[in-house]
Amino acid sequence: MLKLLRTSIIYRSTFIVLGIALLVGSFFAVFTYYWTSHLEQEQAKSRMGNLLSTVESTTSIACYLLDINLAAEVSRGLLKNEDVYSIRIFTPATKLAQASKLAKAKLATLPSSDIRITRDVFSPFNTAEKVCQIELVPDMAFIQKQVNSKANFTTYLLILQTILMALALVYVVIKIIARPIKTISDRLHDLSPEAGARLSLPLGNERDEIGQLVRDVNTIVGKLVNILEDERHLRIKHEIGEKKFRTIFDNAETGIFLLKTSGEVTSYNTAFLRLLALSPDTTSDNISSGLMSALEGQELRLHMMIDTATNQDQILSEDFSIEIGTPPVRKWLHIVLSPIEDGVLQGLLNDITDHKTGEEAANQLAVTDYLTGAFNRLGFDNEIASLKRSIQKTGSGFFLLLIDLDGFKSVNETHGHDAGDKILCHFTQILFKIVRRSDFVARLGGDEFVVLLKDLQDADKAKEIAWKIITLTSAPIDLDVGTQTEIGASIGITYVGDADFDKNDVMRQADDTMYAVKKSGKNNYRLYDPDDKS
Amino acid sequence: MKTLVHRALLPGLALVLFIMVGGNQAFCADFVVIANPDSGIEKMSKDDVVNIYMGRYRKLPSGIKAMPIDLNTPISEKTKFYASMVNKELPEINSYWARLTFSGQGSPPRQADSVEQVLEIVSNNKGAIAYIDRKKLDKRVKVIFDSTP
Repeated sequence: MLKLLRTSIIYRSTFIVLGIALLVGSFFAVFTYYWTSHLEQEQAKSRMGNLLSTVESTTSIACYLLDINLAAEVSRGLLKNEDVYSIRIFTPATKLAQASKLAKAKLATLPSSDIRITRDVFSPFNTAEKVCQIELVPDMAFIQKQVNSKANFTTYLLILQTILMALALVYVVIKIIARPIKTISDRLHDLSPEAGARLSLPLGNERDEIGQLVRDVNTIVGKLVNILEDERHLRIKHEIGEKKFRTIFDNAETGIFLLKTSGEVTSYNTAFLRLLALSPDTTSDNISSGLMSALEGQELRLHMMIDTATNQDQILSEDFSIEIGTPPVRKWLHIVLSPIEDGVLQGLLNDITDHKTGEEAANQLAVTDYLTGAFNRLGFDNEIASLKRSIQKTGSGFFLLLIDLDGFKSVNETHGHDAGDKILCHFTQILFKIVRRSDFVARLGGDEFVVLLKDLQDADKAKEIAWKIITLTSAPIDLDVGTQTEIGASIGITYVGDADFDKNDVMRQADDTMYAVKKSGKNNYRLYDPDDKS
Repeated sequence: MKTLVHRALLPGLALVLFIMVGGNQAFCADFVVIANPDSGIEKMSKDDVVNIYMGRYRKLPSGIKAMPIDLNTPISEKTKFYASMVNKELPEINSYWARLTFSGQGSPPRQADSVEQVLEIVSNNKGAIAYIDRKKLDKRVKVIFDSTP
């Protein structure tokens, strides 16, 4: 019942209307009952008075003559009225008549709450002379009964009217308001607006507020459906865009990833895995730490990049050379880091191995003598600069051998440039055969060569190598079938042990020494002596 | 036309006259109440006269049985008497007596047809009293109440 009251407008309105009607009706019924009752009592009293007035003249005669018979007749006459209980006509001295509905024996037990109506009766011939009193006791029980029945009737009528009015109101409320609302509510409950369904107007309510409500609901539903439709289109568009982006992301040649400042990778594409030679089946822990483990030995650089990018909000890029995979392959990776939000960076990973290799090849080409494959003058300058740094670090010096071929010019003139080139290549092969792999060989130009014996302090060893060169060079060389020639080599040697050396000084020392050899008969070597200033 | 005047005008005229008589009873009530000289009473009050005439008292103040007499002719005397004494008209008086006769209590005063008969009755009965025009008084009776003080 309580649940129905809470959930049903019909029940609630019925309950409230009936409740109010019964409350108000009861109030008015009670009021009417008492008012009618009071009115009836007053009317009863006035009727008693009227009765007395009716018999007053006769009573007056009876009293005037002290006529007991007449008085008795008056009493009997009065008693015929149902609402008269008893009547008494008396003078101060005598009692003229007394009559009651009950037997005389019971007269003494008159109801105590009796109303007695007493009236003085005057002489018919002298209005100043009081001849007797007449006393009338109304039958209160009877009157009360009458009064009650009238009051009850009125009250019942009122209650009946109230109930009928309330029921009519309830009927009207249900019929005109609650029922259409319930109908709408039920239809709304089962409505499927996404299918384009609309509420139908309840019959008879097309023009009133309920019709307005239904139209408004339909408008709102229509708007909502449109919004949903738009939303769906947008979502599809978004999904297509997402898919496109995803495809780009997944198919990109560039490794794209997100990493935390700790270096842990949180998101990545397939290119990222491929570049780091990680299989997609690798556990996610290994993938998230994959970048760091790939850069083993260079993690510090990566952390520096992360810190700088994060703290200075900059996009940083660096090249890393790594060895990955089985068997290990050397690769160059270009890493770009850009901070995108607090604690997260976006990274791009590109394989620049080919680029780096090409660059190295170009560099190599630039420092190589195209004819002999030895370094050229540029290579020599680079090497000297690098050796300067090396001496600073290790402290160990090197020997510089400046070599000039003897008899090369005449070979060139006699047999042509091709033969000269052949001699130069031949000599270069001799040098490469004698020096260690770590040593350095360059042709500075023409028939002038330089050999750098690195990490060497033993002058005898240098001399030994110089002698080997001279020995092998002086052996006859086959130019063509049946054509032989001979050349020699003059070598100036100088030792460099100080990092502050000046290249030109060193070169001059070697050159001077080498010329000294040439002057003193060629095909020999000499070690530069700082004391010999000649 | 003449009959219409008789029928309509004359009672109307009589009514006017009657009202004038009733209204000026102080001037017109020129009657006296008489009694037998041997009645033992000298004077009676107005109330006494009324009480005896209306049947309340059956005896004269002196103890003799009272015998009130009404004068029927001329009727104006009777009308004048009741109008003056109890302020009532004759039909009312008749109705009063009719009620009492019905209950069996008492009877109206004895009716006399002329002043002469009245005087005769009063002079022959000790307890008789009657009203007559003052001018009709004679020595056989004595006045016990005078309407004009």
